[in-house]
Amino acid sequence: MIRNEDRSIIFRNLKNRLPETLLLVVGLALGIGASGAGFALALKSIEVSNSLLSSQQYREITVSTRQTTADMDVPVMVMDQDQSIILTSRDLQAATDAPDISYGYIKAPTTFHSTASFMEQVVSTTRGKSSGSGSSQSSVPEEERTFSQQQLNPAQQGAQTLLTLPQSLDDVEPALSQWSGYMVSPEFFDAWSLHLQQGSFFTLQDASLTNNVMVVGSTLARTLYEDGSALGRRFISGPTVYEIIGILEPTGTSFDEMAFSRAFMPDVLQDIHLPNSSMLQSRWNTSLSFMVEDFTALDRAADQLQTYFTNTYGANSVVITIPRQEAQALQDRNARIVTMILFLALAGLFIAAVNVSNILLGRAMRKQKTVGVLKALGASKQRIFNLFFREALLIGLYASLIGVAISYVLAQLMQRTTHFGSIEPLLLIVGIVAAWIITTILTLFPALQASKIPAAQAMRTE
Amino acid sequence: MITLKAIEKTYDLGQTKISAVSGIDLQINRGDFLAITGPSGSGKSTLLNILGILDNPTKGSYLLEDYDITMLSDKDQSRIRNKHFGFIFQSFNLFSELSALENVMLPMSYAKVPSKIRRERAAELLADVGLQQRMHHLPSMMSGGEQQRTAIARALANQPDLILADEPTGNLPTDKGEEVLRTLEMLNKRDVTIVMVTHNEEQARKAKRRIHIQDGHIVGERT
Repeated sequence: MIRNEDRSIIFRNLKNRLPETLLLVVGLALGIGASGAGFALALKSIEVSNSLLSSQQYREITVSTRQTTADMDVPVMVMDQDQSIILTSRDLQAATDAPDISYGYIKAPTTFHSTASFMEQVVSTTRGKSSGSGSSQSSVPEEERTFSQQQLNPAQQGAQTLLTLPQSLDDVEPALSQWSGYMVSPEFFDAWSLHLQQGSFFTLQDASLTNNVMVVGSTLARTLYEDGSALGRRFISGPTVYEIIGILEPTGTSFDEMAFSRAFMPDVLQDIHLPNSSMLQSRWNTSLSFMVEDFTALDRAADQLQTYFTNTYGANSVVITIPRQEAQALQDRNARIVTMILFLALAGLFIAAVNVSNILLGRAMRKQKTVGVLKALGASKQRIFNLFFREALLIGLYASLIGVAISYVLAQLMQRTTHFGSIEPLLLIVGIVAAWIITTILTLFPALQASKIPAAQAMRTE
Repeated sequence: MITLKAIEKTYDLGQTKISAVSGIDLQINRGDFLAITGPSGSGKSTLLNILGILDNPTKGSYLLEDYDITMLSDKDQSRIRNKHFGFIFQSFNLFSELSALENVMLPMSYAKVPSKIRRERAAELLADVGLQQRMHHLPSMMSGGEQQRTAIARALANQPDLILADEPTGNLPTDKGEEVLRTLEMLNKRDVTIVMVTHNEEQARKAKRRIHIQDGHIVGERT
């Protein structure tokens, strides 16, 4: 801005009406601050929504045997097991009937126990066998028992393993006695975009009941073996000797919880189908996930899966959910809330800006004679417009500066409420600029009116 | 210098139209000192507005050095007012936010005169009217006479060809009024054309030419 007499007029004018100017600035600052934060929030919510819905997780269809979360609270023993089925890797072949599905994987939560707790298990099993009662295994009918003894009697096989292979195990024991993880099929790692820091992934062929392999998260790896060399280590959990063959790399995304602290092993139950085995009770929470690249085909693929499972296990045997639909519903709800917040903020801004506009218009109209004289001295319409508009711009600028601070505080509050993560300063600045532009447009009017005051007003006698 | 032909100005007040002036033919030559007299509401101010291009006539032509200025854009009319005309008002009309010096500098800023030259020239002009000691005072701190002298300095800022004065002594005590009039006479001797609207018969007699307006018409001219 050129330093000239116009500038002196503007600044001294604002100064001469300091209380009024301050009120205008504060009112406008509140509106700009709220709207700036509102815009930033809206932009953030769009960004979050897009990134969330574009994640792999929301291109999945989940198949599980759980009806509702309430079901999970029902003790497993109480459940009518005849009505329930156990999902295994074999059910992944449902994908072959659904062309929209690119691949599927299985995920079953499980717990690993290291040797110390295993020893107790051996002792209790031995005691159970000698007394012939105690564990739930004894309730397994005899005809199935033959099969389960061959493949599934975990304690016996584990005990053998422990007895026959102790020398080949590491002398360093895992630092944890128990940790959690999942039995998965190899496609799981693709689906969650997990990569290896060290070692290799597994195939389903790597798994057997007595020897299995494991991929662990990087944090878990460091926790289990404090010397930092988890790769290649072997340990016993339950009936099985495990070897750690891979360590996951941090992903830098929300999946890092997976990549840090979980352990993964191949699903050993791929070819086993034993509805009443007690060991399989741990498999109630198994879920199958099917990836559909084109999310618009999710519904169609879900129908195809439904057909497969109905044909295989009967109607209503599994629950098929599309997480995207739930996420979409949640996003829609968020969008409505954000729209409401933005609407209220903009309403506030509008009222403040209209008020500023109105007061500036009043000032301009009281200055008819002044404008007339300015025009008589040679000021063009453009010049008069600039004079008044700069005054409005200046008020808007001061208000925006205060508005930045207000929007920052509001953004902090909203951040804690909305779980959107941090609202970046850039978004706030974009929001403030948007609010300032709205203000500016609304305050164009008084300047426009002032520029139209006829020059002949100069001669008016008061 | 200025030729008005069949000038007519009517104000449209919705249902009625009021004719402020009509049938005005007037020739103003370089170096003239013209006094316009007439009762209130006779159309003196309207005529001065039209002469000063503060208002455009409804009908008729206004030739400034043979150019019809009624058809010019706002920007061009502003430029003519700025560079060729100087205005002096009854109530001085200084800007209360600006010091005497800045008031005089303002028209020069419209003419894009550099700031340093504006300042020097404004100081000279104020010194000419005897206000070198009051340059940095705001109008509210000056007497009526001082304010009007500042206004004259401002009117002279861009070395105008024509000074339009609307009752320049109307708000001043007699002695100060005479002082202002002497200044105008002196300017006229330096070949500045002057058009002055006045109620004061005595002052009007000091002008080279007098026209009398009544009911929007020029009813008499005396030289």
